[in-house]
Amino acid sequence: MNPYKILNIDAGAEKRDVVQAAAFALRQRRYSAREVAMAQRELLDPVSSAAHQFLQVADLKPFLKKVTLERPEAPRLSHLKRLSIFDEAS
Amino acid sequence: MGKKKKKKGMPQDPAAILKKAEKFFQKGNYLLAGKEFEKLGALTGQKDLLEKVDICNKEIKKQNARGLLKRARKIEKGGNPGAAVKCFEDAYEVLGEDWIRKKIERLRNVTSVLDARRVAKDAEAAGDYLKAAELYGRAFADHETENMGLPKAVCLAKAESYAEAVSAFQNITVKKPEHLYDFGFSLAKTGRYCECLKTWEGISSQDESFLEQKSQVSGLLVSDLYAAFEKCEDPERIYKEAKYLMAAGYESSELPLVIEQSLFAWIEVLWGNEDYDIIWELLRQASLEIEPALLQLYAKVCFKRTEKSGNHGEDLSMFWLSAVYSEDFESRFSDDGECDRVRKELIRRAEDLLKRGSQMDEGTAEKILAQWLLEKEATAEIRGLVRKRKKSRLPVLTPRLAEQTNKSNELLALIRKNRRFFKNSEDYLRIGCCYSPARESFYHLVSGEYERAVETLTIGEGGNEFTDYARGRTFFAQGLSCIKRGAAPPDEYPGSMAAFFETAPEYEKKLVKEALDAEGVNVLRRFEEALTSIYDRRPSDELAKILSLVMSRRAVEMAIQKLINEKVFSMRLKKALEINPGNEHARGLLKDSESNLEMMALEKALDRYKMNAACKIVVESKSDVVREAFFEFFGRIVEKIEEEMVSESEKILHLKDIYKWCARVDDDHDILYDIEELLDELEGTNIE
Repeated sequence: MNPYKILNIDAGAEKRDVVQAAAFALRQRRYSAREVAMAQRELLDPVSSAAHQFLQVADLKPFLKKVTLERPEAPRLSHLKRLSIFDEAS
Repeated sequence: MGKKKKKKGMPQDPAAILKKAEKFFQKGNYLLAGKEFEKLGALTGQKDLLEKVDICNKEIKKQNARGLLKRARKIEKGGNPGAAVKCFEDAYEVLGEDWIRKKIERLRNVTSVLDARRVAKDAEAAGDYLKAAELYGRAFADHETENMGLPKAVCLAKAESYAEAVSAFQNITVKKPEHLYDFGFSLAKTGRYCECLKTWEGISSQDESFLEQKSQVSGLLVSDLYAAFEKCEDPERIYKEAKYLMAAGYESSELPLVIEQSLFAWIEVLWGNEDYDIIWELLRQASLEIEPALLQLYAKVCFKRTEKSGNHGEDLSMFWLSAVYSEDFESRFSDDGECDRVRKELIRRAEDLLKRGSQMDEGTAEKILAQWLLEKEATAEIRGLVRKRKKSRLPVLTPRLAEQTNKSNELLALIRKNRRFFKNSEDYLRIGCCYSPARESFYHLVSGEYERAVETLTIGEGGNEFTDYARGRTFFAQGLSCIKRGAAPPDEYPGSMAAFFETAPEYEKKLVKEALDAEGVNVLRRFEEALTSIYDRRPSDELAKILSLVMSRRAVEMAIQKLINEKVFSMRLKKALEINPGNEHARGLLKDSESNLEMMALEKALDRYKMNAACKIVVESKSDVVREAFFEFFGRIVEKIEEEMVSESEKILHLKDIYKWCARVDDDHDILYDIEELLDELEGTNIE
């Protein structure tokens, strides 16, 4: 169960946002009332909430670097000419 | 022989002509038959003969048509379907058979294809490739079979209509180098450089111009990938194509970075799409160094995969515990208490997941859970150790992950150095064993796979305490399992146990407990045998007590099942008492047994009227039962003498004998007074 998905909120949302999101999710009826209630409860409990922050979020930002590449000199596509060496074979 | 000469000008007999005509007709020679019928008609003027002539003419036409069919087939085989069609058509006109019509249709199709192809070939030869492609396309429009569209695709490539050429080639199985080249070239010209290079893999040509062109396409691909990378476009394509280039031997210092970065970018997309299996495959293939932050990603992916599929529990336990005990995890929290609570919660969630293990069979789930519990304990201990030794910059890893990342030796050294950190020797050995080369065997052991544990036992170097411990635990468990099944433990069992109990005496206690709970003759026998062998090597008080008890218990079971007689029973009990004189169980039983034996001997002696022997048994016996039985016996005899014997002198004689025997056993027994009374009475009567 991913409470962030059920309540459609980001990880690290404030408690107030969680409650509001739960009310909205109940109105939307995309998930059952039980699922919404459980998601709310999980995110309001500090330990469960921290556990979900660890579990549901894959933070890859530390790995994504700003890379500047030195582009090698590439031939122009228009310079690519069809070779006739294989025509002889056919 | 001379030929019969035809008699010319002689009028012929009509009957003979008719006979001749019919003969020809029957033989199927309609030409001659027709002539004879005509001749007869001219002679006789019969009109019905004209019908016969008509029949003959029709048959002649049919015969000719069949001849035409044969010719048509021959022409078709000769590769001239156009001429064959003409013959088939003529034959069909006469015969009108349906199959000929179908054949004509088929051949007309072939002819039209050939004609169209010829025209297309002419256009191709004239260098009008676009027209040729169109003609080929038209020619094969209704007759699409494998590779029929190949000439069209080639012409499109030659006409520089690359996009169309690509779609034409894609519907064909292309095998020949010349076609592969055109296909690849068209792909390159439409910007599909990687696909071009992959297509050209099927060309073995080492022609310089071709190799140069391949290199040009590689250059175009690199340039294209870099451009896409800078624009953060489609990381999946960048990753896959850059990897392909690397694998194909393209040399670039920046390409590995592009691969790594596009991999992470792609993983981000995949995580959002919940494609955890693909992420897992990518991580495993990428063989990235498992740095702390990445470790958490591994762990999360494992969790999600297990959650989704109910499988992959082994991967989960390996990464999860390492991740939640990592320094990186702890750095998320400012408060240690909070960190511990969240860690505990995360461990609980993973454990719940493993316990559920919906897709795993019961055995696998149990095995994984057993390994998880061991890893949980080991990782927690290592965490404590690393925290205590603040100088140590070692990561906290589960035993399996430590093994995979070549950190086992360092962690093992840390464990050895801090023996006192552990609560007891058993804890030290168990945790050390997890990080030692004996880990695999030890894991099998805790999973209950004893055979596999024995198979994977590493031969430890002399004095390797962890290997010895694993060996001891393995043989202990395997041996115990055999014994409890009533089977013989392995030969190494007693020897290894004697040594093992020295280092891990709690296992001696476990064996004692198991032996105490043992039931059944066979199981008790195995316990007795094993304990005897171990006791010979390690004569401890604990072992003496349990061995003695097992011996007496087994003797009882055997006696109950009448597998041994009273004498053997008693002997076994004595043996048990020799090992442990304090065995009250054996002592009590022995007392009963000896009493039984004496009773048996007494009964035998009395039956045979060996009174001296009987008296001796009773005098030597400590059993009251034997004594009472002796006096009861004589009590009954006295009563019988009193009631049944007539002669008083005989009565006196017998009673005196009985008095003598009884007095030998107990000279103050009541029976003696009774006998004396009787004798007094009898002797008084006698005097009178």
